[in-house]
Amino acid sequence: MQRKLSWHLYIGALIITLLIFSLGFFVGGFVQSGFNDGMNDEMFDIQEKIRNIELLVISEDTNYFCEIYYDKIDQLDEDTYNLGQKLEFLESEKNVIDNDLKKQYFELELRDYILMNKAKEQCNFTMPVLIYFYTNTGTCPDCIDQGYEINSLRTEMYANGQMLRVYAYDGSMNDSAVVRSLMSEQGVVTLPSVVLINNGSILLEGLHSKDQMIVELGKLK
Amino acid sequence: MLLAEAILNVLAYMSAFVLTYFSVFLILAYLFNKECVDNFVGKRQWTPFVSIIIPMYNEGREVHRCIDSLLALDYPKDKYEIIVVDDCSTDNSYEVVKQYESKGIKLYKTPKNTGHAAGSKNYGVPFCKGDVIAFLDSDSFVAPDVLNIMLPYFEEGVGVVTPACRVWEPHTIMEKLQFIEFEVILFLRRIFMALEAVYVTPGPFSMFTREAFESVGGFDEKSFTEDHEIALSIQAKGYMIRSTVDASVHVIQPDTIKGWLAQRVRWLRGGLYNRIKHIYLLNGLKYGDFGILAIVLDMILFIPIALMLIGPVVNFFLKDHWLARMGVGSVFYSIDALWFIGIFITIISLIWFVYVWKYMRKFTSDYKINWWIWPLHLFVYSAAWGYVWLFVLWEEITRKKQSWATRVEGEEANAKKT
Repeated sequence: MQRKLSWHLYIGALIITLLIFSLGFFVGGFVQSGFNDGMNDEMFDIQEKIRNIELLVISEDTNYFCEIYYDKIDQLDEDTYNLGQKLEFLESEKNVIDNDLKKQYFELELRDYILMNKAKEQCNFTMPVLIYFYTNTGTCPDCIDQGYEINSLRTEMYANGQMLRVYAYDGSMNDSAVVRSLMSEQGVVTLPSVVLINNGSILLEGLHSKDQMIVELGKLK
Repeated sequence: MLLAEAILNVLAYMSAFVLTYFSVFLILAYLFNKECVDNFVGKRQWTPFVSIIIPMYNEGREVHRCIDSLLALDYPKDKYEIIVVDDCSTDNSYEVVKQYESKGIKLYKTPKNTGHAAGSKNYGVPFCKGDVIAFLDSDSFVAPDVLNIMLPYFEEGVGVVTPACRVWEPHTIMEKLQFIEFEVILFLRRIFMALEAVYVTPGPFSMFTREAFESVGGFDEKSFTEDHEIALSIQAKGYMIRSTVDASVHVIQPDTIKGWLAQRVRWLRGGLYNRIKHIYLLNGLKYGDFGILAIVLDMILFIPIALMLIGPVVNFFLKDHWLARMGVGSVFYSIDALWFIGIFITIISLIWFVYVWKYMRKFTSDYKINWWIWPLHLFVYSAAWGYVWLFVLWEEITRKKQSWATRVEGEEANAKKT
């Protein structure tokens, strides 16, 4: 029997498959850029909120500032945290790394952090703070675990009616002045590292479980 | 860890590519050969002498239905013979068939248990005198018109004609899932026939010309799946294989997960050995579409299977649990190229599936299948196939021996039912 080889089918299927993939990449890229734009908008919104509160600090109307800050802190915390999570998700899960967006986010976190310190000074505001230095370069297996431990700690404290402000910074971003200065200020040299701040502060180097962090936070009360 | 993630990503894209390519290929193959797939029927007018061999091992409860269906065939009685080969059953199989000797059934017993279906099938061949030889599993039974439909397909160069194996009266979920599966396979086999690339001759009632059967030395008694192996051998010899969609042969399929698993592990394990034995078929230019489809594409499908098996393990060790990430906010953040390609494959599969089902329904309109069996079949049952490889791997590691006993093991539950 003369065997036939249906080249037209193999090549036709290949062309159509390549077209489907191209379309998939095109649409996927389009949607992804839409997400990035959406995150830029979210960032802008948070910046606006912070700027408005900063204006109150400048106006030196302490009572009004404290009242507004107490009112906005929940939303601000939620928005900042969610934005950070989305950035982290895109970076680790989708390998979408937008350094400019990250730098902007770290600056935003810093401004938020400074604002909170101001609130502590002027409004007798107390709230535990966790600053987390990580890296996504693949050289830090403990960073993934530490991230989960921190998420778990924050969720548990929330469930108990306590707020924990979490600020996460990519410690491997040497071109970010914010990251460099914060690491230097907190004496961080290894990744992952966690700085717990309440009444006083403590630097935890390496992987620490949720329970260990709870114990350390207890010491800072 | 980055390496593991990279491997997973590459596997995911390769899997998507393979699945898309395979789906598109089948649809194109159908569209280019629609006339053949939809309407091809055999035209040879002849009434050869047909020998039907029933290999039997511990099927005392089933075999009467098989023999009764053959006795009721709409074919001249002097033009066919029924030969039952008892492979030293330990139940009352022999006694049950003995009662049929008065109706012309020829009963033979192997000197000692051959250990497998192929052994007893081969044992029966020297006793038969037909130009065409058919083999029928003793737990299956045929429709009366099956010979009249199948025999005309034996045109010049055709060595084998395969029947339309249908799951008999599906009641349980497992049976219904397999009912759909078998109908889809029948349709796909017609496409493969159009490409001269049929690579399995099902155990229940595939018919061989004596010449084709003897040219390959009968069934390979070392193979767990002799019906797959002989198809590869016969194709390699240059004979054509034709497939019917309306010559119904009713089969009883396992209705328990344990039975199903035992059967599928045997199929996959046997198929693996057969492909290794016939690896020379990779020579695409010599064996044409058959070589490409029976061996190459079939092996490429291991890529998505590998992803199914490796993916969860890698994810577990990376602690990168998808569910843990759902808290990120919206699942829509996972949308990317792969997501769209996945959606495309799903839509194409659904359309294809509905089309195939509507087509095959012409032959099985009296069977009722609940609507929810479809999604269960597409998204759960089909995916479960991939995980059967884990059990194949286990049996290979433990070197589990396949035999009649393991074959019958999967059928015991059905025997109890019937």
